[in-house]
Amino acid sequence: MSGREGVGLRAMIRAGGRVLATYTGTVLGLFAVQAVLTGIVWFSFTQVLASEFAHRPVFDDAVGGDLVAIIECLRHAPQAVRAMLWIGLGAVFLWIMCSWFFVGGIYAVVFERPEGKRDTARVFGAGGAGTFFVYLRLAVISFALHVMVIGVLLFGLGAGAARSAAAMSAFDFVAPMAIGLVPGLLLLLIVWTALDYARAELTVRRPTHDDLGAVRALIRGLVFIARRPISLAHNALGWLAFVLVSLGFAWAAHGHAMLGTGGAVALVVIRLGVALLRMAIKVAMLAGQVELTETRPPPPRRVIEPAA
Amino acid sequence: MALRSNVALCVAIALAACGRSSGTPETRPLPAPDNLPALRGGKPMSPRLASYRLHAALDSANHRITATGTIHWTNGGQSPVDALPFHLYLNAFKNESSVFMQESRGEMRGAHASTTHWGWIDVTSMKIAGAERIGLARFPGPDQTVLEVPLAQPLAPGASIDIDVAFTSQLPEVFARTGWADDFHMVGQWFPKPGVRVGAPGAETWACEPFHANAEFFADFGVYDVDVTVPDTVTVAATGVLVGAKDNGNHTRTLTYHAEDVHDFAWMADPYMEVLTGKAQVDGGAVAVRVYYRPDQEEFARRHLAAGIGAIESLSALYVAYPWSTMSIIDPPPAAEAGAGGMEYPTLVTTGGDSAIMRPGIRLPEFVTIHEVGHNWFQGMLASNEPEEAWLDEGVNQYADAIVMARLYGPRASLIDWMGFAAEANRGFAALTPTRTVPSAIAQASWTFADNDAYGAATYAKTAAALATLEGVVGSDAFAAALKRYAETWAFRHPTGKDFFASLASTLDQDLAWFIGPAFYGIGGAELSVRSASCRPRHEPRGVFGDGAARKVITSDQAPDGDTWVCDVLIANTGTVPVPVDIELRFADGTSARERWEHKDGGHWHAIRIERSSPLTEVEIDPGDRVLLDDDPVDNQFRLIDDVSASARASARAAYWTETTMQVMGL
Repeated sequence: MSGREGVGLRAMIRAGGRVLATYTGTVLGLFAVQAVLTGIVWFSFTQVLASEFAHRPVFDDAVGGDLVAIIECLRHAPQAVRAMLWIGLGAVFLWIMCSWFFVGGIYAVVFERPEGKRDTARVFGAGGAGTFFVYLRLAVISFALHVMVIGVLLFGLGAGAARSAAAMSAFDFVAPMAIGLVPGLLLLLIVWTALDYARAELTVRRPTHDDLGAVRALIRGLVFIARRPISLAHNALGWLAFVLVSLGFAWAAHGHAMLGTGGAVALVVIRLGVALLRMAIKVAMLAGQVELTETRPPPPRRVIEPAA
Repeated sequence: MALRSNVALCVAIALAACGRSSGTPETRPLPAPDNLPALRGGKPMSPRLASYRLHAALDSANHRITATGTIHWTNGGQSPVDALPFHLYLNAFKNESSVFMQESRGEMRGAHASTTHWGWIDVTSMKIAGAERIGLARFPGPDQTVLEVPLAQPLAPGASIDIDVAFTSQLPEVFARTGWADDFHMVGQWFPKPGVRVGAPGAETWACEPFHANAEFFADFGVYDVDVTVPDTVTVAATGVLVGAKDNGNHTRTLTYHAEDVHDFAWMADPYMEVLTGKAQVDGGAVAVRVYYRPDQEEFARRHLAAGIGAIESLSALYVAYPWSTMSIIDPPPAAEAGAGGMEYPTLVTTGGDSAIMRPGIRLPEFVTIHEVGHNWFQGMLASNEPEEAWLDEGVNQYADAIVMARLYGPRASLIDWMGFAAEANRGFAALTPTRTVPSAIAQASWTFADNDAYGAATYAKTAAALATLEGVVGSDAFAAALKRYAETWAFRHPTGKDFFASLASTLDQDLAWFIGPAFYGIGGAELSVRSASCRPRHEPRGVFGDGAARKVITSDQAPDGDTWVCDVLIANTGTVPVPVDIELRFADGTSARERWEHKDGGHWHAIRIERSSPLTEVEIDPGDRVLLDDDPVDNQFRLIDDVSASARASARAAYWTETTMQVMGL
């Protein structure tokens, strides 16, 4: 019995902090990539909107909160909304694919603990490249699980919405839908946690178990989180932090128009800060997952009998 | 043990919460009479052609009313009458073959007709001068919503007749303004109502259409004395004033209501309703305003009360003073809102819009109250033929509602003022009107629209938009005075659309046919747009001038650009409704100039050339946003130099949400 089997929530969180402190440059580099992609999205959105509204002052009113102007602009140029939607979806899809590489790289770095920029880059690149296609297979396999999660979420939301329809207070309106979403969110947490630990194991065991496939890793991930519920608690805590940061920003930004150039710059800086914080939370979650994964017994090796 | 205690506590809290509106009904104190006159002024205001003395008893378990009474009807026309048609509106809900059910397909305003709890009215006796006539009655139309009773002898002009009636009304599960939902009973259109004689004197005909899906009601004014016998556990609200209350000793009580110069009588009975009261100040007197609500809806009841009082005071100031002593506003429980909410009767309306998402500042609940209270002017007093000319009460009322909303909540954000979002009522409704409905003229009978969406778009929003546009053309003060004159002239009569337009034209002293024809009787609206705008520095003409030896070339050196700018603007109206508009031209030095395009001559474009010391930067058609008939006002403004700051700002917001999605789905 390894001494690391006693890894608890605190150790997982500490591992996150340690990785953030040690590989700050790597995290900032990843964030820079994301910021560039977001910047391209912003630029594309701006071009689409400007092509329709740069010479229409009513759009200024719409952005200023004139609800009628918003509706009028949406009705005037529905094609612009559709274009933005597709640009946004494209960016999200592209980032998901990039994330398969980045997550593999981070798991490898956290596991191998390289020192120095060059070594870190080598481990990161090798980890990301080595697991990209197996992560892709994992994503395809998990499609069915995600469909199931969406079904449960929609069913719960529908059941809650039926009660919310007659609500007279904000609490009575939100509570039934929130309660209705709980089963779906729990299922989502289970699926995402299992996928995380499957990815972690695929990376960590890659040097010794190159025959570990996506299906086997996912099944082992599901079994593992059932045996070690702390994995679920750790992921839930991470997502809670992610949501709190987002809500905190929404709460802080509400009521501040942030007009003018100074306001716009402040808004961009604050949004960048929020995005960076959320990325740090996710990297810390990955680090904690590796910490726990290292306590897992490796998958049995297939023994090939030599020919007689 | 602790767990068991917690479970018990939760159950107790849940039961207590439920019990607020669904516990066992308890006996209510016998209400005291209002001690108010039915009419504040006392003197009759209408011809009172159809008056009623009814005795009704509610069987709340079976949702059924049995009634007897007498209808006193006067032939107000100048031609004799040999048969009386009666509306039996509840028969619209008797089966799927009625005109109403065929046209509505059993759906109306989000409510669905029950397929198990039908509604009907059965007139069991109709005696005239003591002789039973019900055996001679027939249903002349395609369904049983109109019953025609032949008279023994023609009734001469000016003569009156008493009809003794006995009938049973089975309320449907709440749908299309009437019915029951659990213990809540909204009793509307529950008794036989004679049609109305309309047309030129001496050549009157009956206006007594079958009950159509898009149609509402039309009746003569009269005096109503109605006894309502109900369980002693219910609160009752009704048209008119309460003049008597008697405990019958058998767990029922009889309440007597009296109303004058009204053309309908509706009532509500519910065992859980509470009452909020207030007073509207009108003409130095007071109107008692009451909101009936269930405890869960108290927060909204307060909003409805304030809106109701504001509406009565505003509309009294704008048009004619509210003549009655009371106004009852019923806030139906959520289960009944789609079926019973948002309906008007004289001195009694049902409201709606109560929902958790209607936060203070989102004034849809207030709007519903103001709209329904407003109907006490536009149809309650100005009793137009709703089935034939629905726009005359719904659309004119909606136009007036926006004015009331602006008076009460400010002009910019009268409908929505929440979380930084703002919307004015008329512009808001014009923007929210679906654009893909079948294009329809405003002035057409309610049953001739393609569907309910087309009816709603033309009757409500387009009418209000047309009137607001006309107001912009003739000026707000003049238009307000014209509407006031119309209301004063036609109150307690049956004005038609022609009467309305004639009254406006007369008061405004203008021929409005150029606008009224296409806007109210035609399809489409205005389609204003800035087609182009450009400026160039002014200079003397360049080129080749003269011939032969006198030929001379003037170059840019010889005719350099001057200090002034020549600007050309082309605007167009490609719609069907011509509208005179102002055009504001803004220049780089901060100055502006206004031009007016009268546009009554049928031309579809207008060119402006202007010379200024500063170049043009922006053009705006209709800077006051008065032309609400324009479906796409975005291209009414044009900026000559692109400004992407708003686009960048909106994009930053959208990009942030995209990034959030990226971070949720990926790293």
